[in-house]
Amino acid sequence: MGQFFKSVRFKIILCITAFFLGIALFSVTKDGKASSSSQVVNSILNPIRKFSNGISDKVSLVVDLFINAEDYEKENQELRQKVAGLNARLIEYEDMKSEIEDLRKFIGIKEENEDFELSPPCTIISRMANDPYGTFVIDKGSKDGIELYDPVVTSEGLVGIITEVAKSYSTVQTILSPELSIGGLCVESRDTGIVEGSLSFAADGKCKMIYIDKENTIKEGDLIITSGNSGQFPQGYVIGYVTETGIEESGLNSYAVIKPAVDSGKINNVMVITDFDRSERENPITPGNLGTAADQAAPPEATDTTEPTTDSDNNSDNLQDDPTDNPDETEPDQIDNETYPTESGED
Amino acid sequence: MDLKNATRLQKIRYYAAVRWTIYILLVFASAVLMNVGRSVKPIYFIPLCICICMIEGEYPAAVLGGVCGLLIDATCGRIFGYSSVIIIAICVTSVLLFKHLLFHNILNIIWLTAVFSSVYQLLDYFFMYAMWDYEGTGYVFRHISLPSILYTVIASVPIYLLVKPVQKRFYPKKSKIAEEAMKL
Repeated sequence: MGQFFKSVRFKIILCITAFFLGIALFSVTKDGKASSSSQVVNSILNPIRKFSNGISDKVSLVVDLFINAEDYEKENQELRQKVAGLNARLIEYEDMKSEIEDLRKFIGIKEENEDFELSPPCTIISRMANDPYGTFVIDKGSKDGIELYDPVVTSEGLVGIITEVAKSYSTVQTILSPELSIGGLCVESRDTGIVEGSLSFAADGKCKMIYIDKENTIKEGDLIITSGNSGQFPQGYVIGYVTETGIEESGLNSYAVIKPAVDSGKINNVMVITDFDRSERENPITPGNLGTAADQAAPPEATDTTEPTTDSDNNSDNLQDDPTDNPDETEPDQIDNETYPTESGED
Repeated sequence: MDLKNATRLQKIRYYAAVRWTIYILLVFASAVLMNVGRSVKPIYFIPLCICICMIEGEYPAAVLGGVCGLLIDATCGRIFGYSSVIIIAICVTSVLLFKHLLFHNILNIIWLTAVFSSVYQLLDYFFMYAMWDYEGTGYVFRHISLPSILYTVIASVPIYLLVKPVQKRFYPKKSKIAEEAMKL
């Protein structure tokens, strides 16, 4: 033992120790800043540390799992149950939230249109399979005051019409159906026409306004509302927005492609207007004087909301008149009728 | 029910009850599937009716066709009873074909489904769209009728695989004629 303390090996070890002690003392004097030597060492060691730490973590995890597996299993089950409970509550909450939002909107319809008699809020219970027009069934029927051909709406706009009524359910034909004809009025230009569904447009969720006067000023983004000519639909309810205009093949009239304000494929709740005041509205419809639906509905893209031209203003009393300036160019019996056809499908 | 001690008639009744209960469940499952989602769907009832009619008689087949037709009308929004007429014809024809001409195998089910669903969809296309001369009826034919036929044919395979074991398990074996029994 005494030999060792006298040996060169001991002295060398002492030197090494002293060297490291020196480094330690030097590090202390750096006041928290890493010395260059420690940086070098650490940068070499860090990947190794990381690797070894990873291994040790995994090993300890495996060991821990092995030992506490039963506890973890129990805890896992409890947490799963809690999560399932919370999810159920979340779904319930989301349902209630959307129902309340719908009800708020429906209250808005009633407030804005005092003459409307509305059914209780109706829920869509099924959609017709393989139907290109998006026909659907609602959970309210004749016992809720719903009658055949009653208009179906949401706060955003017109959805369609009741085509079949049972005691506790009704079938709704959407405005995408070619079997439905609605008198339409362009708010901006005051041009009128008949809004009809078309198979070729129904695929894109659009419909067509036909029999528009060739000299119209309808442009993309214009708002189309119901003209209320026949008394079948309330006057001034939003139908949709113009996305495209053109001339009919016959060359006699123009047409406009309309994107309905309501995407019937995405709604879950609707309301049925069971009765409304069919007399002429006190205030003529202007872009600034629309009902709830028009206020809430947003155009598909930025629209030009310039005031109607002088020519348009002259036509502002046309709501109950012939919809075109030149009846010779149109088919008057079709234009004046805003009707649902007979079962044979003929207008 | 103790089947070992039951008479042959009791067994036949028991098997028929179980078989038809399963058929009814399958019919309602098809109705539910027809109501799911908004995309083009197969008419599950057509292959289901054909499969069931492989071994059943004409009268049960006609009743089944009528019920399934009403369910199709309800789910597809057709005039109530319209599809019943077609499906009854399909069911009875299937019974007769399987009784006199065809073997009970999947290939026959597939081609019969293809033929009958094509007939159904073409009639549907004609009566609901083409006859009224609507603009763009070609869209319905290309994007609804044809895919629906294709999906129905595809659906016939799993439906056959569902129905066949039920029939195998719950259809009483044919009683042997006296000569066959004597040989044994």
